[in-house]
Amino acid sequence: MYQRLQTRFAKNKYRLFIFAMLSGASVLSIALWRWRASVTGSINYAFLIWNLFLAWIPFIISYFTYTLTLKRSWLYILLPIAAFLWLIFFPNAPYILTDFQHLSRPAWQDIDTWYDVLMLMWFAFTGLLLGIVSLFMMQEIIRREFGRWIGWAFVLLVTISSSLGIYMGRFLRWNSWDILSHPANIALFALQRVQAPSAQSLVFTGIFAAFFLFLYITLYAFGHLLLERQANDIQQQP
Amino acid sequence: MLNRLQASLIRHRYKLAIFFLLAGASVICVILVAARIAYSDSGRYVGLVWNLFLAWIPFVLAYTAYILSWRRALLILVIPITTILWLLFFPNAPYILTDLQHLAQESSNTPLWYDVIMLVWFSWTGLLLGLVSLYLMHEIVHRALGRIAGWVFVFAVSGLSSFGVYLGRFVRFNSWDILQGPQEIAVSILGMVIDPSRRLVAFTFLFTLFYLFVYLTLYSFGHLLQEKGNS
Repeated sequence: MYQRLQTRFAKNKYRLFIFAMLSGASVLSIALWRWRASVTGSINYAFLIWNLFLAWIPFIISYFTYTLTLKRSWLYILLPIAAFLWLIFFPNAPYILTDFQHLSRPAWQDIDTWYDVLMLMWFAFTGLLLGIVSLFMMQEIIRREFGRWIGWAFVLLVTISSSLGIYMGRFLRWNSWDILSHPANIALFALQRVQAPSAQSLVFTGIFAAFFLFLYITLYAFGHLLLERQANDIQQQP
Repeated sequence: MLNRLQASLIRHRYKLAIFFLLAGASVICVILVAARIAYSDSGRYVGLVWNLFLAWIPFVLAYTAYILSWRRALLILVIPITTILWLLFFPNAPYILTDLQHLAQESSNTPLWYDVIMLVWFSWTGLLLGLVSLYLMHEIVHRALGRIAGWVFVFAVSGLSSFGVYLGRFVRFNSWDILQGPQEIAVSILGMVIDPSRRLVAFTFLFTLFYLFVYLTLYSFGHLLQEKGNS
């Protein structure tokens, strides 16, 4: 029993390590905000904590799905529900990047700018990395089941739809759960927007989707750089 | 000959992929600034292009050192020189992150969201240039001196470069100042280290932690792909 736990732990050590790192980063982000609040006596930027909490939801969903779907019998019941919920909540993770815009509010500049920049960097990058890792886990599930190409098609689809999701969150002020509470309104409105898209929505979605895709592929290649090293090491030893 | 070239291309395909991805990202960054200038007729944020160019220097140095260091004879010669040069220029890569502070100065001639997304592009490209070049140097040190020395190197570079970012952002030093007047620079840095301001300590500490967090997370993300490979 104990030994089994240990081997499982060793097998998943990098996943657990990432989990621990992201948790630590979240705690530190919140601590940075706490300190800011205690120095300035204001609660500016308090919403960052809420946004960070929302960024954790897709990560947790994909983490559980990833672990559970290793058993094949679970897959077909769990995957559609989990994938749907995950997709709704996923845009919250990269969304924090857009919170950098609050730097320009004169009323909120009640502490040195560099401190706010650093604090926002902590929040935004933690959120973004939560998103990247959770997207990777979902891609893995899909790849295992349906193959490599469908896995990448999934990534492309999620990138585009989540960029749209961020647009809806930032400019139309929709929340993930609106789709559950007023699905018909949202669908109708979305259809209208798609038929006559504004220049703003096209430019924003395009640049953001390109950014996210660039980042994801670069990190993916970076991961394979480590694999490449291993392969080369093996090759060098005769 | 062609065969050998092909084999080495395949062996290093991910390194090449990263190179092209970062080059492509830099082109997009420059286009974003050009579009901003065309739209608003103001030269604001042109400095970003210069900063991005500076961020490429350590990457190119690390890339060259990495390729050269495969020959053991070159290793001893090349490493000290490139390492010093690399260390001097390395802070330029994470430095771009601090350019996000320009958002705090109002500008009414372009939509705010455009500036945010443009700065996000720049800052991540710079950050990734830095991370990959740090990784390449990490590899060289790892190969030559062993695993622990490799990690000590990463921690030391994170701390030093955060201090470098501080020097660039608040004291307005450039990488090449040290070549022009090394003595003055050394004296003023020594002064700051002996009697550090609170800002220096807080900024350097938080930036170091941030950099290590990103590096370690991406490093283990890379190993996550490996776990997948095993299963």
